[in-house]
Amino acid sequence: MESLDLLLGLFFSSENNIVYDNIELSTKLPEGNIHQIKLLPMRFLGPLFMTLAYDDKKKWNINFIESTLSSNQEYKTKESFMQSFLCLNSSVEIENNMTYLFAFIGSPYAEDPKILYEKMNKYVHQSIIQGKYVNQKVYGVDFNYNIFVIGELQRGLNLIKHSLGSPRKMYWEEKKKYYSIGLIERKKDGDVVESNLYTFDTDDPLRTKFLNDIPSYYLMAILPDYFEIRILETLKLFEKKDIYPNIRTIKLSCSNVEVLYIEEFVVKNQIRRSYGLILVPTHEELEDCYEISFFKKKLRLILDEKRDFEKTVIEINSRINPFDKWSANSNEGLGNIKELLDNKN
Amino acid sequence: MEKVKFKQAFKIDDKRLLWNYNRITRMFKNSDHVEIIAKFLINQSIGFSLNRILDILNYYKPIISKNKTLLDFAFEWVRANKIRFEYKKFINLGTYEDPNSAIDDTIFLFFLDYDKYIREFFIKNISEIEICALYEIFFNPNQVDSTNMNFFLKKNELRVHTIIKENEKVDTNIFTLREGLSSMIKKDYNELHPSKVQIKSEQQKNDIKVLSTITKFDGTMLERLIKSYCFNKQKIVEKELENSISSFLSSFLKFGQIYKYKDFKEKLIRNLTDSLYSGLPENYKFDSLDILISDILVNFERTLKNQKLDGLAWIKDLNPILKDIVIKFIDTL
Repeated sequence: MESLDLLLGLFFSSENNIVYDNIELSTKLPEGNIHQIKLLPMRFLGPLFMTLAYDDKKKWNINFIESTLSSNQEYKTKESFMQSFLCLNSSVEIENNMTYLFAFIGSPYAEDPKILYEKMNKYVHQSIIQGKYVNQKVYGVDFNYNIFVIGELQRGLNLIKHSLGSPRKMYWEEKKKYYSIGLIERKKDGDVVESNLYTFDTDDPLRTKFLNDIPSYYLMAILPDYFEIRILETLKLFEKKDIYPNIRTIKLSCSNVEVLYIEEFVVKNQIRRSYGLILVPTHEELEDCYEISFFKKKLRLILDEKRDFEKTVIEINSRINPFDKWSANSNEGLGNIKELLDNKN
Repeated sequence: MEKVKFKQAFKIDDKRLLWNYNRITRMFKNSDHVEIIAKFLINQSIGFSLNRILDILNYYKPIISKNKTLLDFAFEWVRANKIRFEYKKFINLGTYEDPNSAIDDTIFLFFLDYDKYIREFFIKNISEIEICALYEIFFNPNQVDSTNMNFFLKKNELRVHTIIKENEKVDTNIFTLREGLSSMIKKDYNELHPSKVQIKSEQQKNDIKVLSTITKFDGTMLERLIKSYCFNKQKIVEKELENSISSFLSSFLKFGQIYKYKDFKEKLIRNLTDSLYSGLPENYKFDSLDILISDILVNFERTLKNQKLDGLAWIKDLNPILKDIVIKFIDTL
């Protein structure tokens, strides 16, 4: 692996909200960029804090964001081999305070996010938390927490680095059935961006029912755009201007509740179109529950224009209204989503 | 990994083992139960003398959980050999750059789920020393000395701790695993990859050379503290602030080395200013910080400027003054 084609950063936010970082810089970057890179976890975790403000009873965790990377035709001369970009976030509550371990990984391989996430969540994050108790007992007042955390982040970074390039496995979760509660359409033509959400009618009881299973329609509508911009910013900070991101998967969780967002895209005549689905695990009483592969196939059919959009949306979920779209990139549109779709009554 | 999955991954032939155990029972009808199990384990070549096995079995017998037997424990001892064999095959692949990566990765891959699994064989309040000792017995028999169990556990007391908080045992399994297994993994790594060990030691020699030429105070912690404050607007914990300042000062001033104030004054002011500035987001403005810091340090300079002190003494003297400066700085934000 060429060292130039690997981006790796690990950040820990303690229960006192102090953020510690350890970043693998394979190439010399300007001071300003390094300063900005250190602020990345705050930016990536932005919507997370927003959801906390939205409903403080539920603490949503952004588990992972996966993006493929495409080559930018304008920068043909400096070609990058980087193919995938992952953001992983592990949240662990200790003594009523949240701690976060966040990683971004840019790699030339299609990485296996599950194994990387498990290493972070079950080993690195736990060892930081456990180490605090153990070292406080051993060293008492002489225990230097900062040095300890930096050391553990270095261990974590080495562990993640070692796991990169592992073949992607098929997990049983991928055979799980999901129910789609919304479709997000995104178009980008130069600087003109359009994002729309298709979901249940406002008077459909399913709309309010699923408000308990997601942070909010508002947040789900803005997440793909939000994270795509963050990844693009990150790549620019690492001076990777020859590639641009396409969101593939976002996974959120709250206690035992899980929300998955999957997206497919196509670029034609310099216009990028993408369609994504907001999925929640099967509800037994509902029809239209399918495996992820079914949804991906339907999204490809819409993108390839082989099937009628409205008809395909109804095949995905007959309760989603394919005719009324909610704008997700204007203040007015987002205001409507907040007011009408996120209304619990 | 669920229990069943774990058993499948490291399968032992229960039927054959039971047949063997029954055969030994028939052979030594007059021996007591623990002795028979010890003889059964000798038969399985687990690498200890009979007396040592008896000592270990007698120690763990009273702390085995109600739904498990001493024979179950013995079977797990045999399974541990299987796990060790698989683990050694894996580490032999040699993809690790250093022993620390090998320790973390193999603990995650082989022993983290094992830890959950094996703890089910014991009573809930088993101490971490006992678990740690078990790992050494099961996986690193060559390192377990010939003294009796109580001496062996006593030796581990300083390294492994059982932490109780509000009447609840704090989970410290990763640290117990590291204490119990690190020396084995390191030893295996060094034996299997001698060439990598040599390269690493040469690199370390070079690193030492670099360390001896430290030229600035490292204010990364301070910078991070200010940054977190500006973003979250959360009150800074005093302990965090003290740690950050200690870290800043100790990055340059070393215990056992003698300094004069003028040797590091300029560096101290410049590096402190830089660290505080770089913690600020773009929208914050703060001018002439370096002048402000040197003004505050004037009194200190008057009393101590001609003294020659050890690095540690300078750290102790400067710590409260810098703390005061940083607090004043934060108050202005």
